[in-house]
Amino acid sequence: MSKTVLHPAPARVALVVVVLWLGVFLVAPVLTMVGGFVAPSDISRVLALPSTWRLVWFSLWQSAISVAVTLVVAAPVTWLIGLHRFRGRRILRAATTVGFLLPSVVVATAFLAVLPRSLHYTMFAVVIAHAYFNIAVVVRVVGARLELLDIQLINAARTLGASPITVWSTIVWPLIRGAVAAAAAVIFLYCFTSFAVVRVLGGPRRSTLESDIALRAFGIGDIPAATVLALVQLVIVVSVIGVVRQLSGREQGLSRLAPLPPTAVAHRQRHFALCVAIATAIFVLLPIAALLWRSVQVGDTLSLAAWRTMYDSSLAASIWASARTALLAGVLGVALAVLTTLAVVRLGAIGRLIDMFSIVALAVSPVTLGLGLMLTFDIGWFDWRAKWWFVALAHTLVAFPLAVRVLVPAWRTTPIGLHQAAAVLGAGELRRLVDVDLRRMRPAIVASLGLIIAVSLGEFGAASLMSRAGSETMPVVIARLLSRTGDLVRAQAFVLASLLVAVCIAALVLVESALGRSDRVVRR
Amino acid sequence: MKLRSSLIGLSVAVTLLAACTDGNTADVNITANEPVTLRLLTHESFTPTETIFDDFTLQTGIKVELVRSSDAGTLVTKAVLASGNPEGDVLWGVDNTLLSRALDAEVFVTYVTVHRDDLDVAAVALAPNGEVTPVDSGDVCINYDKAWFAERNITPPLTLQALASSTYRNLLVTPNPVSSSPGLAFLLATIAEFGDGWQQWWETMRTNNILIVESWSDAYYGHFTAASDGERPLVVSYATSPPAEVLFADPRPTQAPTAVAALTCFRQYEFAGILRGTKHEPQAQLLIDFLVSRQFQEDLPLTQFVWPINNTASVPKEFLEYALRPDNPLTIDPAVIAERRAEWLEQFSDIMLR
Amino acid sequence: MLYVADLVVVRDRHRVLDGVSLVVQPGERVAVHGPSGCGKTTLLHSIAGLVHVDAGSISLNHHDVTHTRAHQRGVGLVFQDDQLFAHLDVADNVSYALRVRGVAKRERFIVAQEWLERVGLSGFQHRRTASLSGGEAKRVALARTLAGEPNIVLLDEPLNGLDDELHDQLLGDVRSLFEQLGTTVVHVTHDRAEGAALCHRSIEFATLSA
Repeated sequence: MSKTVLHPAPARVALVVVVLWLGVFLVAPVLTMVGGFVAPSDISRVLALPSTWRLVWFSLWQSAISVAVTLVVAAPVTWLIGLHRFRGRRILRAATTVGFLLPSVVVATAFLAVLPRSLHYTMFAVVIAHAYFNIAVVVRVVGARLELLDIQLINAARTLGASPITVWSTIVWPLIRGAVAAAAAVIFLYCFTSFAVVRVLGGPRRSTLESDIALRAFGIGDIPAATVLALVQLVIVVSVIGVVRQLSGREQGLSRLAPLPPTAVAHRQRHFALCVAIATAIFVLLPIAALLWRSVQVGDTLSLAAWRTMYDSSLAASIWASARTALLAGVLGVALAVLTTLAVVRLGAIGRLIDMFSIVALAVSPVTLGLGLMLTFDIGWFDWRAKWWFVALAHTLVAFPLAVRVLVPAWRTTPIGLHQAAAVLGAGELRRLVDVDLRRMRPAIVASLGLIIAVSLGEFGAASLMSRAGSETMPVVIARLLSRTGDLVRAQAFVLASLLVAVCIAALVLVESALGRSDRVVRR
Repeated sequence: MKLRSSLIGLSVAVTLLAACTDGNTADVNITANEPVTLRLLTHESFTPTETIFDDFTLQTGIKVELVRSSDAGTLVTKAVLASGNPEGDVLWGVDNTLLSRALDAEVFVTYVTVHRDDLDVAAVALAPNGEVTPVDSGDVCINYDKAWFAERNITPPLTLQALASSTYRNLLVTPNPVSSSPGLAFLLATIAEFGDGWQQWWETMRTNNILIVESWSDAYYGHFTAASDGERPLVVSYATSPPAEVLFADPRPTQAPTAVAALTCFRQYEFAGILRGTKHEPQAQLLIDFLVSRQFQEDLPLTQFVWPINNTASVPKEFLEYALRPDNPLTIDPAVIAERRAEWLEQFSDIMLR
Repeated sequence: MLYVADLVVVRDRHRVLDGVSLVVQPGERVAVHGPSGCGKTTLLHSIAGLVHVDAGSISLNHHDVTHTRAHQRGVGLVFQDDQLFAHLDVADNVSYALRVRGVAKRERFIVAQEWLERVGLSGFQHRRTASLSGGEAKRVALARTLAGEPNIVLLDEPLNGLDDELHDQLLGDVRSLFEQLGTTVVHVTHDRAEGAALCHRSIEFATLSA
């Protein structure tokens, strides 16, 4: 019965579009880099270098430590938000997400402002910054799983004599294990390909694969070596993701799809809960406050001079450039994500393949992607290097997998009964797609739009390669200003960074309120 | 509902609007009567007198728009990636250490300037066919804070070999050769000085806790004792930094507060060229001529602290008073640099950065 | 024996329990009736130690347990919606209280088997909880609580949602089990007939408050 109602035709069309798009803009550039610039001798040369393996090792272990530290740092606030309801819960959750959406170059700079000199260029700084970004992943992924956990289960265990630790180890942990693994995998991905944080906070002596790729492409000018390293990185990332997905397998105890109303904070724990909330809020807001503080400090004096120069055309131009790039990336990205989701949800095995492939898109580092695009589309009619929308193209590819991750679960909650009802009332294929699926997905779609916009606003790696003078995006301009001397110039960098933070928060508010509405839709 | 549809509507409207108004002015129509604006791509250290291009505009009717990148390395990389479809018309700031990269990628079109005969012969010899035009020269040397050494009664190091001594532990800061042009010049100086044993010297420097930072300004204004609240009295900088310290100070000291170790200097030449793919080649040629003309060249010493390449340009006496021009700076044949630069940088990264 | 005196529980400035008192003799089965939302569940949760008590006292077998942690009270609670652990099979669910006390696996299994027999579910040891029917799940929940040999068993609408035939069957089985074991029971339900059938006496919740 379901096969006739959910006809695969529109999904097949979507699949074709997605495959074509990814083929042209993702696969082709990667192949160009490999085919055009890499000789087998390059591969053996780079793989034979001991430094290559030192890079791999460093990338791996700093990533592993970052994952562990992030999980530990995020645990209390995840516990608080996932299991309880309290006034300000949504705000606290939104606050933790701010770090994730902020551009890495901005956060790294903010941490430089906050940390004392003795902690500059240390692993501590790098790991803390990584935790800052990725708390949101734990809060959302593990928190979502916790929300599905009925707190009465914990009560049942308690009445059977289990102490809090026993409850956790025998009841809670087995049920959230999968989510923790999923969160760990995502955090690992982001830390492994970390660029700005390692460069700015770790100093020139520390290098991950990603920053080395940029170093070789920009600094040394050795593009074949950069490509080989990019491939090594790609292989490692895809393997890790594959392994994790294998291990998480089927989730047990997920009898409910809709989150249950969480309970109030237990009396005994209220002081602890308050401390957690305040500590988290401070942690999240401190770097942002540092940015604002620095933006009004010109040399040693407090002054709004830097803010006033925002009327200057060249800096304002970057705001416009960022905005239009982000909007275009948002529109294209959402379209691509919706098509991908349609294919994933309706097409069984092929759908899973496409899902995997979209994650691979996430694994290709933005620097590599930017480089590939620049080297592919540079001839004749396809010479797009000067086009204002070229950067947006890269951003679409970088951000759409995230949107797919949001849309797929949302799409799956559409009960088939609705389709059947609509069909019986005479609605055709396409009509039903729009009226039933897309309409219910509206909040999730808005959420993904906000997500992609925020990612695009903050993206640095590809943009620094592809931006043209006069239409550089804000992160690129910020990095450029920071590398120059002059009190006013530094302050200007922080002003731009503060503006960027403000715009990201606006995008975030959009995401939050849309997701909130999505929850309510699901529960109906 | 309303919010969402208006949001979608807004996004679509903006996208369409933006599509129609391309922000890139490189696609400007070339009609005979419209004034041409040339885009001059350069790095952050390009700081001539603000009004200097007004004369050029008066003479030729061409406007000049300056577009700055952060440093020479980025400038060249982006030019290489954009080869054939450049962001601007003329590029100023590729030096002899980076020249080969640009030439290999065919970033420029040749042009032999009308002032060729006035230019420094050694410089012209580096690009004999006019692939690029030399515009200035300088020397990258170790600078030291005189007062710091005097206070502690330590003799400042005068040669690269001397720097390896443990007396100078924790005292030197240098920009990263991989990303900074003076940094690269310094690396080349050590290669010129020590030949094949250069890695050894750097390993010793690593034990001596040499500080490597991203850019020259980071090193000089972030860590050099004479120019910041940093802690390093030895810095890799230019032979013309001491005069800058004097001439920008208020009140002016009679003696320069910093000095240069002459035997550690590496000669740097800077070039400018017309970018391949520019739509204003004739106008660009005029700009190149202007950049090596006496008028522009005489502005160089006191604004950018480099030596003019035009032999007929006179150098202000204050500059001559405080600036050092080493007689025998270290050099390496550009052909050799071209061939081995990547390999050297790779080895350097291996020893120092990983 | 259960002795509840002047219990006050405040939630969101609202007095959910306002001076509630209750005495239950050992071996006695008491039914508490009242409309939904009046606080019956809160009363049970307070007795079990799952809810913070603002005033009053609770004592079990002459020990004051008002401030004792839930897992140390020895109060069994059968939840309204069973709350079986989905990641454990039936036997592991039933023997959970013993696992917590550190009893060896083989012994736990034997005890679980015994209890399953008592509630009429022999052979269900390795079944997954998701595969159980409504009535079966409730039996498992009961077995799980009883296996812990608590001082007192609290039942929160235990037979809710079962169709009539199953309801009566289960009711009969549960009653005979309690009579056999002599369990002290507080049975909360809105169904007065059920309360009367299972318990020695019935009380109106409203009368519990002073």
